[in-house]
Amino acid sequence: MTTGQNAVIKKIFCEVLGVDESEVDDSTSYNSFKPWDSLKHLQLVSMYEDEFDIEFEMDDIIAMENFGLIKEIVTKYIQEK
Amino acid sequence: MNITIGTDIVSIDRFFEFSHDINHPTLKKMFSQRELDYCFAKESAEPHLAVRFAGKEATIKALHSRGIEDIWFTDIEILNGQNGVPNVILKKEILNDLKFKISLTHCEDKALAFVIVLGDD
Repeated sequence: MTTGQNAVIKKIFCEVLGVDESEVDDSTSYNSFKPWDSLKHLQLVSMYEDEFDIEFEMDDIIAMENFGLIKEIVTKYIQEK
Repeated sequence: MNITIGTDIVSIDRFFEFSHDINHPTLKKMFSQRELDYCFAKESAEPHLAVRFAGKEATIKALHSRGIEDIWFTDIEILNGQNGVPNVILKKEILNDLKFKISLTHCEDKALAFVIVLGDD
């Protein structure tokens, strides 16, 4: 996982959710962060797929329950390309 | 007979950014081609997209209530029959024994769905 990749992952996350980067860390969670709802989650998935030319399995989309997991899962797909 | 229910409401304006492009990647993550063709054949796609999204959320909630969690938006299709009544079509054979009843509605700014799931599971 490179610093540059992480920065892009966070930038997309914050742009889609309309929040400042200072509001987000690895523990930022789908269940407790109000701007992150199911429609935003689908937007995030499609933005990451488009940005990194990857396609997630359904199980991984569901597993993205916090920002730390998003970074791990997106990075796994980038490395497997 | 085990009965579970699910309901959802969504603001229609959240779909404005998708409603001018039937090939928008985010729409492809939620809807089948048949659903998109139906919505985009209407004068304004966004209320039809929003109410189907709410229908899928309500269906997922009703299935979660009976312990079925391995379900995603694209596993669910909501299509209108010839009489205009919407139907839920599940793309997972394991759920074939369940029966679904769905009601959709929308006003100027909100779309709402209510789902009942019936089965002997």
